[in-house]
Amino acid sequence: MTVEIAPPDALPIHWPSVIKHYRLSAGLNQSELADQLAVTQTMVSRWEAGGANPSRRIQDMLFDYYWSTSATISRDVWYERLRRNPVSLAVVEASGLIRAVSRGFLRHIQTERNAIETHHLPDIFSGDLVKLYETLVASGFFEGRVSSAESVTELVIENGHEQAVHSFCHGIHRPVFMPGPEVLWLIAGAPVSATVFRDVRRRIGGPVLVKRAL
Amino acid sequence: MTEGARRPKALNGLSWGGLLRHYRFTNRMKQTALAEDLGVTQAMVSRWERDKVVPGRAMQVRILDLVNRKDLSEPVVSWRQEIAEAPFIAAVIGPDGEIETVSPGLLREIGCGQSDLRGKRLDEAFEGELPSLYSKLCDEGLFDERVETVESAEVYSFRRATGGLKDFPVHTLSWWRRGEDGRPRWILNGARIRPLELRALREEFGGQIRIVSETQGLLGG
Repeated sequence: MTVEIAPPDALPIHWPSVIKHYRLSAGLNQSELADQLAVTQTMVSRWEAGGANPSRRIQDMLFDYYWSTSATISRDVWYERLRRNPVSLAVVEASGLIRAVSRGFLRHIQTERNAIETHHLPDIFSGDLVKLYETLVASGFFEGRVSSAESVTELVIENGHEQAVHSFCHGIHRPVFMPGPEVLWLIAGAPVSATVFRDVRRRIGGPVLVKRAL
Repeated sequence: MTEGARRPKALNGLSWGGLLRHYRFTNRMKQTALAEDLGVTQAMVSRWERDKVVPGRAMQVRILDLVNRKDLSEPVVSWRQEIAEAPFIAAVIGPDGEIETVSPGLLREIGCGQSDLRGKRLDEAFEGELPSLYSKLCDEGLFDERVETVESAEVYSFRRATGGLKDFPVHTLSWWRRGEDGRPRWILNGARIRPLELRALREEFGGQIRIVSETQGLLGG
């Protein structure tokens, strides 16, 4: 079964959000960021107003700045470590294609790696996680408009011909800034009890809480 | 039936146009600014506001998101903040064995509070295999930035304040990164496993730990 998904393979990055978000997070004013990027303050102002898009070279620099806020390793080493990680992690593209999953995630949903990587999320899961994906797309997650999201979902997997596996999952969702430039969705989750599920849902006021970049 | 009654309602009895206008006026925004936030043209916002067109389903989600949670924006979070928010077992340990940051996932697993772990030495809060993992990592050179990633399987034994131990088997992945002061920190991620899985992992590793990789591929430290 193939589900038609609205977004194209890659969504255009919303540069005003990305640039201003980075600048304000780093506590820089426009001219300080301009110095870092070796451009004029007027240029930064035009990018933030959406009057012009930064060049490819600047785009890569900005994505590297984002990358370095959480990682000091190369993206290749990061992927390798992610696949080996015992906790539940998954990397999803704007198209819904699952690019990489951790060993812990495979254990959590009792699935083999080749049954999930390079498959589309709506083909593997049903219910809450698919709705979460649609919410993130609609919130501009893959365009760089979202800083993070928190969710509690009931994980339902269509496990071949067998019955679906249900479990409660508490997840944190962050953008990962990859060359392309491309924003990927990093799911970091853990199985939780029904009590924790209820508590978190009450705290965040629903199944998902999206925190915007600006 | 009047034309107004046929308009789909968005929120609080307002049509989509009414909701957008209300949001825009209370935030003193121009149509162009709102269009910018929604990633559409100013002409589109104008058509929506006059209820000539109803926003598509995906856009309705984005609009409600914007209207309901307009104050919910967040700066880029640091690597340490990411660990402090992790739903799974995660911690940052200093070179002297001090527990600096713990995740809600770890607190949940143990059933304790921040103050039971933070600022304590690892061997004060735990006994047995977790402190012994720390010694092994020291010996292998994790804090000298020699090994990059280490996989392990052990039983975490938390010393309860009331006496006795809280034991649970964990599959752990460890690596280092430099802290704010430039000194290396041990980062651990873990997932609770069943005792059978612990045995299987130890067979796979040929002991408690397996060194996955030596330090390589750094982006300038």
